[in-house]
Amino acid sequence: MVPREMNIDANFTATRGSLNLDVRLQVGNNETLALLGPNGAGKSTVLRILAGLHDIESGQISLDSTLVDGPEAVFVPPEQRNVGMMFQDHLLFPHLRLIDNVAFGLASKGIKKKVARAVAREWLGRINMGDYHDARPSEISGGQAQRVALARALAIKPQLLLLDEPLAAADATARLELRRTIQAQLKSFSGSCVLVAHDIDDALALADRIAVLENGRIVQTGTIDELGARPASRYVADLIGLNCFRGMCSGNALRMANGAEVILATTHDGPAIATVHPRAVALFREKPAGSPRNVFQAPVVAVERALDCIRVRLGGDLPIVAEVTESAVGELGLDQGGDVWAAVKATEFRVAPS
Amino acid sequence: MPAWLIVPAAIAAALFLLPLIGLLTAAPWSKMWSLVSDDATLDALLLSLECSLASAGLCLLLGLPLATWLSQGNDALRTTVRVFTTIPMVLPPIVGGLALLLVYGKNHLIGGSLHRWFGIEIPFSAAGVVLATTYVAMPFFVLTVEAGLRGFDRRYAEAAATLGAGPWHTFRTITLPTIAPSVRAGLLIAWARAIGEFGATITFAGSFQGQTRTMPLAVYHTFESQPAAAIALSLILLAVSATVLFCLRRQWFPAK
Repeated sequence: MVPREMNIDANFTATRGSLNLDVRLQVGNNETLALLGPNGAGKSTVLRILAGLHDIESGQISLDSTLVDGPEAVFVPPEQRNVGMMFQDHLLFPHLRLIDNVAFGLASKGIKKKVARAVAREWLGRINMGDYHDARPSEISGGQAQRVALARALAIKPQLLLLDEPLAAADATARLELRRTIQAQLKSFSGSCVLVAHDIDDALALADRIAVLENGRIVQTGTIDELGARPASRYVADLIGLNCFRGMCSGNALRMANGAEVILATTHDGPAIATVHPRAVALFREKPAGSPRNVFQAPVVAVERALDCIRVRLGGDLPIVAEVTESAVGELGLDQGGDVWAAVKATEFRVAPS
Repeated sequence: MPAWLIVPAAIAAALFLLPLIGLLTAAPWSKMWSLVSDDATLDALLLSLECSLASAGLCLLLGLPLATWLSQGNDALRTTVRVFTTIPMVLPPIVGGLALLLVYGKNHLIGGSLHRWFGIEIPFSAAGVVLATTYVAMPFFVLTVEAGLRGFDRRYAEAAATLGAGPWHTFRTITLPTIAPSVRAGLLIAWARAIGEFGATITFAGSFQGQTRTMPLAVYHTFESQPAAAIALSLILLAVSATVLFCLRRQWFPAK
């Protein structure tokens, strides 16, 4: 990988209640890092620290090669950091109209109200909220409010964008649209982004890299493939232990770069990621009869015994991992290698546009 | 609500209604106009309005910063200051007036220096009335506004900070508008307390017509010689206060 200029370089310790954080992370320009981890691991606190809303105890944080938090008296307050933050429950100012919410950041920086409003109007249009300039936050839905909160954070042209579980407050139908909006905005955003993701799907859809935070420490950082290749903890394995296929979707077929295809239960168009849990991959010695849409033959590459299950790694055009029981290993003679048949129902795939 | 609660509720309402009826029935309606247009009455009414408004203004100017500071924590210093702030609420106003004299009086602590260096005398002047009424009324304002500030979700201020707003800008454009209902309520309570103030005012500022004799003092002064006129003055004070409260109610506390 070509070394890229790091926009964010943070290495710090901090405490929040009984939790001790010890975090090192770097994010480049044009890069999005997703923080994943169990509840209470300190993900939101990391964002608050980067924003300057929570103190560090030791270490340092630099933003665009300027030290913003460091030893002794070095501390740049949040209002001078040029960091945009989208909070979990949007926190739009209830007494301001949407347009003034979005214009707030620019107005705070001393830009004339008229100019700030014009920019805000443009932003509201960009997130499909152009008809709601004069609405109050209480008059729109949760998903809409999150989109406005995103626009508000981006309107100040931050160097660092922080998204704290951006999809958590939206209901199922609004989620997809919100995710699409965030995706589109991240594409045209030139700074760095750190987001706390609720689940792996969101992380895959929105981020370039994933950092897994457990109990205040980052246990692993990397792309989904890097994490999956060598999970650093049980949590990572469970989280990333999913089979993951990237390719171009057309109708209900997802076609990978090597020409292999998987059939999905739903139809999509364009680049997409499909994931399937190893438990949903069934193995057979003989070609199975019946309905599974994805049936293929592949060589057994490895049989790995984990704590409570056995993971069988298959090679071939569609490398996939299956989780089986100890007795199945014997029955199928998996330890001897050779080819087996794998079957996956189309409905077992989860699909996200990428 | 349980049905029987209506009984104590009605008794409570009667407690407030009966004295009003007493005033209204005993009022010398025939002499009302001549009393209202009397110079002494107009002086007292005007002084009461001026001083109570000045008092409310001082609450906003000084009490708001104090309430903001108090709302920032629960440390020993803030707790102590909060106790001092609430003392006037439990102190008999006459004692408060006495205490003020012992500080601002010509021969005492601050009053001595003020008199010597600047020739200023606060006791027994209109400024003294304002000081006395503010002393008694501001605690109500501070406590009301502090409660509002403590209910303010700090995360909105954090959101404002990430958007580039410094502390003052955030306070002015986010915090204040959000807690505006508390500020209005506090102002109203403080003003109401100030316009009815008697004990501290008469002790600290005396009762000189046109200078320090506010409406409550005028009622007291008149009561000795002409009880009927005192009732009329009471009604005038009541009418003015009730009208102001009623008008502000609509504007300041709109129905949700």
